[in-house]
Amino acid sequence: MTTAEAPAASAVLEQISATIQDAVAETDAPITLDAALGADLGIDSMSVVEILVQIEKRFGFQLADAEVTGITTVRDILDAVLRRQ
Amino acid sequence: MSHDMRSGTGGVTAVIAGIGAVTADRLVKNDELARRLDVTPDWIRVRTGIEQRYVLAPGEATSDLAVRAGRRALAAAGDPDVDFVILATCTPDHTFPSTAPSVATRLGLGTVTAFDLNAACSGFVYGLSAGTGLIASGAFRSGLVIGADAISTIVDHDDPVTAPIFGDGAGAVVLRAGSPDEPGGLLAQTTGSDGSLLDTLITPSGGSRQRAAGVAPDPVSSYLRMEGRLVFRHAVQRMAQAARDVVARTGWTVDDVDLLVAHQANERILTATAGEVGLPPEKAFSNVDRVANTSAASIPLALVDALESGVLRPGAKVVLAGFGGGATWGATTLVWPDIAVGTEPAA
Repeated sequence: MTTAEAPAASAVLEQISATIQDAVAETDAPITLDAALGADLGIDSMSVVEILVQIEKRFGFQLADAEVTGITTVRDILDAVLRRQ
Repeated sequence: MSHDMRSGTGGVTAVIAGIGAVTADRLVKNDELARRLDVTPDWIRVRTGIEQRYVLAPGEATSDLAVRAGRRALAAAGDPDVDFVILATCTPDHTFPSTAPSVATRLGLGTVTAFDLNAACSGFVYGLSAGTGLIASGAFRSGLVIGADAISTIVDHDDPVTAPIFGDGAGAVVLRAGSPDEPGGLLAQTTGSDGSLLDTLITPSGGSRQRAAGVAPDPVSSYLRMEGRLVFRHAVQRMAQAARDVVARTGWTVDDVDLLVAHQANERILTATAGEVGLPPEKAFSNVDRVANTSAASIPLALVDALESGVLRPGAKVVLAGFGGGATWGATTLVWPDIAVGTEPAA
């Protein structure tokens, strides 16, 4: 990631974190870039999809099926969004 | 591209003349399952909304459920003659031959046209669509459409992801030729498929691909395998899209819909689907807590539960929507008719 992209990325990350927090209010674990959605944040597979659908709506794009199955960390979601920007 | 069918006003369509459904007899509650799976009963309930399910007893088969549901639907319709039996199932008694002929014979229906239809959990809406087509063609006047599955026979009972989700059951309706203007007439219908999703819901072994390989199958490959994320995503998208499509082609608005009876996959799919259609959750009927996901039986089982609990009444504008392995999906609209729920004669 270049320095020029960093502010945009941090704004995106903020929105992703907010989306995750909305979906799983009960999570106590910090939502860090490398937090695993399942193992660290305790998010089950259907909640992951619910989060990804919210991300799609928020940023106005559709994830490919391979992305939906491949995303395991917060960073994976961030990368998927940044690829579209 | 999906196939859309619409019964024109004044034309011939299939009309629902009777309904009946059964669950398997053996009740399995979450606490029994949780002990085996080393999870808590709440873990199952929170993830799926399912509290219990019914499963076949050893020695029983899908056809036993299908016969019971068929008998109930026929009784509700006044035991009419029927010209065909469509058995929607993905768990037939045997891979060969089909199960529908033996079901027809055991129901005393003689030598009627009888065939299986495998659209997995979409089987019932596919069966309604196929039955409507047979009747609208003029070649058949009436028929019995049964959705019956015993997914417990293909599920890995030690897998915490899939084992809690499924139950066994059957549901059936009698269709007769009639008018789309009368209650019970099947109105707009759509069916579709996407084979690129083959691997998202599959039992790899048992068919020609495995058998022709000439090697004994890995035991695990004879169990149902599910890519949960993709199933959830596509089930919601496809059922919602199909439901909106048939509502619009019926000439209704979403606000006109009294009840959405979608495939009872799990509570969260039902809630998400209702949201995508634009319906409040209370208009999406659910009995998944009591019977779990019964595959092709889920919609008629839900209809019977909705009738018996007073949620579904004659005159209600109803949308049925299904999604299942294949992938397959479909939906239909109808105005609920004033018909009985069938019971079986006392043994």
